[in-house]
Amino acid sequence: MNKTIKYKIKEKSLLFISFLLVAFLVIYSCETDETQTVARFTELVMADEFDTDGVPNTAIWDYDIGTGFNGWGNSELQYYTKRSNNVKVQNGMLLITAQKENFENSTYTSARLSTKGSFEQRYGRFEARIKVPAGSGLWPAFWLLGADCEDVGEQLDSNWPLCGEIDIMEYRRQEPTTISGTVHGPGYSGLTTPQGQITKSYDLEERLDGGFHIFGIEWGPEYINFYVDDVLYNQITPADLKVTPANETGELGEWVFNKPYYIILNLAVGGAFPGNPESDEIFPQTMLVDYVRVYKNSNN
Amino acid sequence: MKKLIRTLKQISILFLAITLFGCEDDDTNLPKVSAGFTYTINADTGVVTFINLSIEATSYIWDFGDESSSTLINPVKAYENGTYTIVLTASAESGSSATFEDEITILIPEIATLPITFDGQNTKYDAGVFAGAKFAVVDNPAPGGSNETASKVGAITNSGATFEGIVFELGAAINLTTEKTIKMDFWSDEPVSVTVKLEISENVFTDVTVSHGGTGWEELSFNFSASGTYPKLVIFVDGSGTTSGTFYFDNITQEVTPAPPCTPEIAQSLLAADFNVTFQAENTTSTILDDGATMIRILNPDTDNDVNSSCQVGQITRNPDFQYANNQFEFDSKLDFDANAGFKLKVWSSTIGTKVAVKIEDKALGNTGPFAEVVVETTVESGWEELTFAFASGESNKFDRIVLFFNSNTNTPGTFYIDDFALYARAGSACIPETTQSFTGADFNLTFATDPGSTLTVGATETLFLEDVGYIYADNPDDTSTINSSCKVAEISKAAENYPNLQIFTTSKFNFTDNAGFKLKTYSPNAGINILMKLEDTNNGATFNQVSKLTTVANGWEELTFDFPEADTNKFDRIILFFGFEQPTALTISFDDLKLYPRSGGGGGTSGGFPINFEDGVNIFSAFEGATVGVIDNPQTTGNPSSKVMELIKPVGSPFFAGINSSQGLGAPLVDLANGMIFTVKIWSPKSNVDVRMRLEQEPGVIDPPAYQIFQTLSNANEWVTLTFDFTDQAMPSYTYTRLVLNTDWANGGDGQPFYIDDIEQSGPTSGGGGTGGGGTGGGGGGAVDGGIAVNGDFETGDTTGYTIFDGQGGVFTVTNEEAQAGTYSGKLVAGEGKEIVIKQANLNTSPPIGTGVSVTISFDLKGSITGDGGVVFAEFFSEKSPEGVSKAEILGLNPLVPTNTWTNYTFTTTTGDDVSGGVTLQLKAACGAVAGCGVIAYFDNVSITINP
Repeated sequence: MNKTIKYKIKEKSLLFISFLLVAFLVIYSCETDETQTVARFTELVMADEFDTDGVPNTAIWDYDIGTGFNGWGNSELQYYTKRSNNVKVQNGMLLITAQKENFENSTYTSARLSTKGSFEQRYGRFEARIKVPAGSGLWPAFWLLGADCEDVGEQLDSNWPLCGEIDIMEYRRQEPTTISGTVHGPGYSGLTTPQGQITKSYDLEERLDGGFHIFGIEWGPEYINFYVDDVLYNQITPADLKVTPANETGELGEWVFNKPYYIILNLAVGGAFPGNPESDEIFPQTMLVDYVRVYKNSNN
Repeated sequence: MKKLIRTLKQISILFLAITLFGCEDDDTNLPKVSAGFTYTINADTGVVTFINLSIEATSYIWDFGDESSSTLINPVKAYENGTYTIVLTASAESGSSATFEDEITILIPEIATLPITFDGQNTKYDAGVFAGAKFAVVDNPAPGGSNETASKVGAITNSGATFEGIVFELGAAINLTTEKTIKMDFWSDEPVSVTVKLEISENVFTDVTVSHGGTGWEELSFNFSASGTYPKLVIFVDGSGTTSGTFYFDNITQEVTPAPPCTPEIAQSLLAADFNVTFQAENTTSTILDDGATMIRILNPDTDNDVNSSCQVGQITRNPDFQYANNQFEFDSKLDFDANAGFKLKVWSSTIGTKVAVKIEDKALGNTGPFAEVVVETTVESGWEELTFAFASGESNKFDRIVLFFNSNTNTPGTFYIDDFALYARAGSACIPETTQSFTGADFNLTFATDPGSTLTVGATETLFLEDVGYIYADNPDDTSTINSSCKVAEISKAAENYPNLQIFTTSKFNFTDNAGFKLKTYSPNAGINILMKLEDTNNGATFNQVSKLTTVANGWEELTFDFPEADTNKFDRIILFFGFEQPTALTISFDDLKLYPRSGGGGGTSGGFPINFEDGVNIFSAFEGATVGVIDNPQTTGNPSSKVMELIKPVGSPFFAGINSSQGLGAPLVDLANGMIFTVKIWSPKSNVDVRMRLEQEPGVIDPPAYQIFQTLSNANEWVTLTFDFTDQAMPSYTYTRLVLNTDWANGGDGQPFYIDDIEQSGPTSGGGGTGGGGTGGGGGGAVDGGIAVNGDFETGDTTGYTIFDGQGGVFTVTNEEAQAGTYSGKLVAGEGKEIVIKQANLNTSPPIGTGVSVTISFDLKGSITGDGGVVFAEFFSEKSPEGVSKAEILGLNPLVPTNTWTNYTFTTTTGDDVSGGVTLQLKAACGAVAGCGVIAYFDNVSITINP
């Protein structure tokens, strides 16, 4: 999420691999014998199906409140609250709703939920079934931060990007059919050159805001695979890290995806990634989350 | 090979098919429809946004549970409070369908509105906070004192910053018209000042500060003098200081300001020599007789006024069966009208125009003998006023009976109050006889040195032409006045009509090259009487110019100034004076000394007018809140060799807002913006970096007084510095301000150090006279109107192109052909009870971009209606920053607009703020408070926003 400067890095090898991948994957199949290649993370360790109306399960979810530092580091416009106007469970869905309202000197409100301190895990399959909202200036996201992250977006002086970030899903209307998966870490935070964050987009060729989609990663030692629905579209490994001359250390970026991470779900308004809303008439806008599930490797 | 192997390895890792979906063997079946929905609720408005979760459906029927329905996929529905069962029926084209239902309970919270108790179960007490203060609703931490109830209270926690506080955006604005007192229970365990500030906007507000004794819960009363309507209530604890800690408050109420205690009478006389009926004691003497009207002594029912706050008054009840009902006072000796000029009598009548007659008779001869009588009509509705009954000295030593009539020669009933019926001394020797008089255009000066008489002949010179007014060559009603002590004046009277006037034809045309305009002294029964001076060419009435001024003093002399531009020189030879122009109430008013005054300003001799340099040693400023002020020999002549300056000291212990204001009572000039809107002041400060406030305001009650103020920082200590206060940027009404207020070291309490002030000058551009423009925009071609940078300002696209709409508050915006000032269409804003609608010409920009501080003229035509109470129409103009925020925001005209059933053009000129990176925005708003029966309909047309060259 911390992409103050976003670089479009064309990773040729990744693209090549990804094309192969898409070609190999079965788009939709009813054959059941493909389990020989099924994900290795099959043991469900955490799930919130959002089946109880009202406040989201307090044993799992806590909130980031307010505007953080400079709009959570990204010049975002919203004030995050935990009011039912902005976040609630209703009829089997988690609803994160961005409202146009003047609140605490901000002009929009929304919500950001996190499992920091309540659920943190190293490796595994993290997935959520989400319907992203439609409209300009909205920035729905499903992402992970390292459990040792402190004050990310809340203070200028945080330990990001050292603590690491995995963005499973980010979406904006400028690219209505595209999903992107990204990691940030030391040497590839997005603030560095020549390598920004390591990212890869995938074009579903249909609007994402038209319905529910499953967004997830399979994450193990030395790799993170990103998928949407049944399409695995991106793999990031330590081999993607590059020397970062701008740091003048001559060192590789450090692979920091070897420790527990926690989950964040949020709907931002405005900021560097989606730009500011062109119109306020679209509000309120809601991000629907059907479930969040996390698996681990039953062999681990 | 190595590369190939590596690639293969990667592929194998990626070759992880992920089975996420179960598969059903349903290829031959029609898709199964399922219905489902969820929703968000705007808890503040009851608006529910439904989110359809149905699967495989193509059509939907929503039953909203309130006998309304929809076939939209994701409808939005505004509910009233209640519980509703919503049923969604989702259908496929095949005909199969499914239903899903859910129950929604709506409970729209009320927004905090006076009285505020913090105990409303469904009330939002959301106070905004600023500068570090915090707010919370908590349990009463210490029931006792003025607040013994163990219930919820508000808590303010000060961080220790100056000017921190909280603000309530009230559900219904506070209207101070009649109830001018805000009360609250306030808890503090240390003495502290508490300020309640009522705001319309940052620059338009009124505030009152009171002291808390620090004894726990105390009831505080904030007595306001303004009369406006204020949507925001701001509370400061120790506003300018840095007290930190938590304070509590509760039970904020609004009430009528308690009447001040009455003033006991100290004298009474029923003798002819010093007749003075004050009702100090019950009078049972046979020398007072009732004849068809009964007079009894009662407690004064109306003590809260400046005219009569005495405790006891007389109540006269007129019996309608007696045509000449009266009360009589008889004496043993005759009345003396050599020493006395007549009678004064304080009267309270519920109606204007009550005829009060004082008749004097010889009791031996009764009503068949000689008599003298003066009849005066009341001019105040339901309030005290003092009437004067003057008798000539020729009536002296003839009469020993007073007969007092109310509405004589009628058969109407009535109850009236009287008091202080007394002889007043003839001040013949006190007045100063006039010595000059001139009717020429070069040095016109009508002093009533001699009686100019009156005429009914148009064009007759050196006399008064009367058009429906009465004229008396009269004695000065108050020759003790420092403003006018001359002996003779004109007393003008008119009936309850709009346009009676008095005219003077001069022998030559007025010279406005050497003269800046006219001055006119008036003695008016009320403040707020509109005096219009129109100058015409006798031979061509189409050549004219006019200026109007309101009187600001009741029953006292004041001098009004009517300025005319140099361009008017040698054009006019006819003065037309309207008294109470378009104020159709009966009026008796005196005037004197109508004269030209020199344009050069200086040398005029009087202390009136700017610059104020104190060289005459006279102090014309009053101090308040403990400050002290005086004119002294200049102690700091370096940089300002002037010999006299004003010294302002805020003593130790005086509050930050202690300061001074110009006082007309001390001879200070009125502040007439026609003479310029830029003020400069020389100040010598003992401290560096102090804030200086200059504020222009009306005396309370004159015109509901918005005040305008500017802060400047004085950087350097111990030297004379000229500060400039430029009001040209503020859209100020162009009326005359009665007070110029100065505060030195604003934001800090007094420290006893002296500030020196000198050379207060007025200059620069004059007020543009912001208000409404002239008539219509011409009936011409009816084609598109040039909207400047406005988009679709004439609505002639027939749709809402160019307008951003905020319709979440229940009001409605349409582009309609029901009405149009020109062309076919207008924009229609409609709001009912508790609703509002806002449209914007948003973030307008130009190429090259609009600059900062640029003059912009906004114009539109408005027609419509407001029914019931609580409806408002506003036009607001914003200078927008990018990407958000504003650098300047203002309500155009500073007040709500009042649409009428005829098209009215509104034109405002303002300037852009210091950051217009986001363009400029014109916002039009119609809104109704939560008042039953409220309705607003506003049609706008010909909206234009023009950048002035």
